Amino acid sequence: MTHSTESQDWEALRAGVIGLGAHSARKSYYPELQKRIDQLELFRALLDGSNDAIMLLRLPEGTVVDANQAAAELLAINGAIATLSETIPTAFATTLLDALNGHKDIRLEADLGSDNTPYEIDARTISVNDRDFAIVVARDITDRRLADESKREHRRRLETEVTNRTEELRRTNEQLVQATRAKDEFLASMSHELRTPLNSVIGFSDIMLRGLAGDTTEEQQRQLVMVNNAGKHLLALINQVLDLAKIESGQAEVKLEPFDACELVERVAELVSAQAADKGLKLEIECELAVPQITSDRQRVLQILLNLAGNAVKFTERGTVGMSLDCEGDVLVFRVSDSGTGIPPHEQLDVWEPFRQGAVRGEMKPAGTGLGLSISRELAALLGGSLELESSSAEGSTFALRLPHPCKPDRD
Amino acid sequence: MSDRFDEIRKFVAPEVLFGEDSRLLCGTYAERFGLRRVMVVTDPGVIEAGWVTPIVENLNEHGIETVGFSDISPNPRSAQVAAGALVYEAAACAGIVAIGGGSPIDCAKGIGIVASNGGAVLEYAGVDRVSAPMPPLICIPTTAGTGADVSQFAIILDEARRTKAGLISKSLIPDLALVDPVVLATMDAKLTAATGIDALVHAVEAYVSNASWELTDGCALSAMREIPRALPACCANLDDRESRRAMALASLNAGLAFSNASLGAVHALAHALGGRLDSSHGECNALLLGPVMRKNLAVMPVERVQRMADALGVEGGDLIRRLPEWFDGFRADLGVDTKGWKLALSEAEFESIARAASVDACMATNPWKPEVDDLVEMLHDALD
Repeated sequence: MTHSTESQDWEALRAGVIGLGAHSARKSYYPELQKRIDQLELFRALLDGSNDAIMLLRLPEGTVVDANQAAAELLAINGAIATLSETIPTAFATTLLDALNGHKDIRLEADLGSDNTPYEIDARTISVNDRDFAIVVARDITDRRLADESKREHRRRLETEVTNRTEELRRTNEQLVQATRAKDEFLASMSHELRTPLNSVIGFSDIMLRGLAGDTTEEQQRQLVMVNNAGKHLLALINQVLDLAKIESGQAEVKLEPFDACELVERVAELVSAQAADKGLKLEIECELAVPQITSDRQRVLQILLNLAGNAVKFTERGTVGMSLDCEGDVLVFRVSDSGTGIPPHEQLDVWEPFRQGAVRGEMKPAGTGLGLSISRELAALLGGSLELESSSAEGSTFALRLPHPCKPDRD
Repeated sequence: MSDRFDEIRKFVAPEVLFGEDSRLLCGTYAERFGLRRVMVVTDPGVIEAGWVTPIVENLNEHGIETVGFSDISPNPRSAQVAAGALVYEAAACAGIVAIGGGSPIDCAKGIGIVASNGGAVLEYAGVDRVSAPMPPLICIPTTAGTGADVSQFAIILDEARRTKAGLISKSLIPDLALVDPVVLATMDAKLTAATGIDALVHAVEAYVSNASWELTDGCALSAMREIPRALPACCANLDDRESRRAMALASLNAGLAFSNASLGAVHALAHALGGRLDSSHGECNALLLGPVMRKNLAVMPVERVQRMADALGVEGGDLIRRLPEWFDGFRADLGVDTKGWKLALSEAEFESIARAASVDACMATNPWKPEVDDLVEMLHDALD
């Protein structure tokens, strides 16, 4: 036998020829096949792991070709292939198949299974090897239905609550309107029914004091003065209460007119001068304005300033009561200051409350109604301005009334 | 035969159904393989002989669709394999039914390999080059001789190089062979002789192969015992049912023998010569058998040569001279010779054919390793 120099190669070649080479196992697809089978098993596990019922139907008749575990339970089939129409309500099967045979994708809801569980069903058609199938996925939507129901219930409750609240408000509003009407009626009758007899009390006691109704004893005189004073006090009180009520209810009217602010301040000083002189107080007025002419309600401004000045005189024992006029921007500032003992910090907010009164030294009860500052502040607002306590200390207090005013003279 | 204590041997065969009308089990088996659409690979001659239509009908009866492919010449070309693979792919077939002689069956193997491995069939030429098995292949051989229905071989013509490319792989063994003697009846005497003598060459080469062993010897000797009587009888009377069956069985035995023990220098030279001349495989083999055996038998153990002679029924003193003469005479009696061949090969062409044969995979199992000069000498012996 002749030996080739490449005997090694020939040996390998010969091994291959007689079937001992690397690829000689005929069933070499077995490992691959096994791998595919493993993959299929995993895929099967994946499908069976889904809570959704997934099934494959052959069209057009709807034979269940494959179903995952959830679908098998839903359709009550045990691995055996059944026709869809045998396992779920016929009416529904017909609906599903009719819809599928016309369209690629459909979605519908239906109650399935022995316990009529609600399902949302998605189906789509596919074609494999020239045959038509439908992939049907049915999802249990019991939880979603419950959630929807509780949402609806919640909304219903909210709506009821809103309706009740609205009704309550409407009733409250009605009561308020009635109350307001009652108050208006009350005020109207107050002005008439109270003031008329009170005028009689004051008027007749005046007449008696003047001796026009005959002689009176000294004691009678003293008592008539008390009646007369009490009547006047009551009338002032009624007038102020009515004033405040009128302003608060928006019924107060404003009468605008031009007047000289300095002159008004002088007039106020004049009105309190006698009282000041009685207490030995000095009155100081400062008024140097480029434009003293102001347009406002003269009577109201007078009322405010008189109240402030009167208070200053009333609560100051010695020293000075001053009044000044200044222009600050577009605002005219009336200041009324005194050298009294000041208002303690904790009372500074209370001064604006109706019926609050400071104590006047040496007297058991302060004179006045306790409505002055309340009314003044409302009036200031009514005139488009403001009234505030600017400063207060042991050396005295300063109130400031601010009113809109073009402080600079016009060019023309 | 090399040292039997040294080597591991292997014997691979397809599932075989042998007997008259076994072809009609095609549909049953294809259905059992789970095939829904198959490609039927055949050639125009077989269709004309009327064997294809009944099998297609048989397949259809079993609910199997068929796609036909019959654009196949003798010695199938790589381009025909490529065309067939495209048809296979386009029709989404799942398996192949090959009906015919060696050419349609080899072409079907080529198509199957391309279908499962991709690329071009010539990429798999050589030994053990196919990694993925092909789709299920059912073969119904219509000639008795090629053994392609059971073998791990396929021969495809490489048109560009004008050579026959051999594919050798266990992946080429069909899944099912329906060996039905009935279909042999439509062969003419010439084709019966050419294919029958091919079976003899397969048996002889497998027997002298250095990879032969007891199992392949049994097959080879069985074929050698039948062919000297049955083949001439068949050629003389095509309706001789008994001889036809014997030839079908001999062809099957020879096929199993050479598929597992492989071949030798006869086939190595025939592949090179056939590629150059595009001549019939069977005829080339027949012409080369005597000349190659004059050299091969000399290296064989005497008792093995004796056993071969006993099987063939050859008697006489110097068997190493006597047997080659008997081979030449046997083929000549069957009318297989070089008469009518236009042989005008130059000395350079002889050498190039010999050189091609010297590296052929079949040479790996020749009982000795001939040099190029030895092969040139054998060619002259055969063709002059």
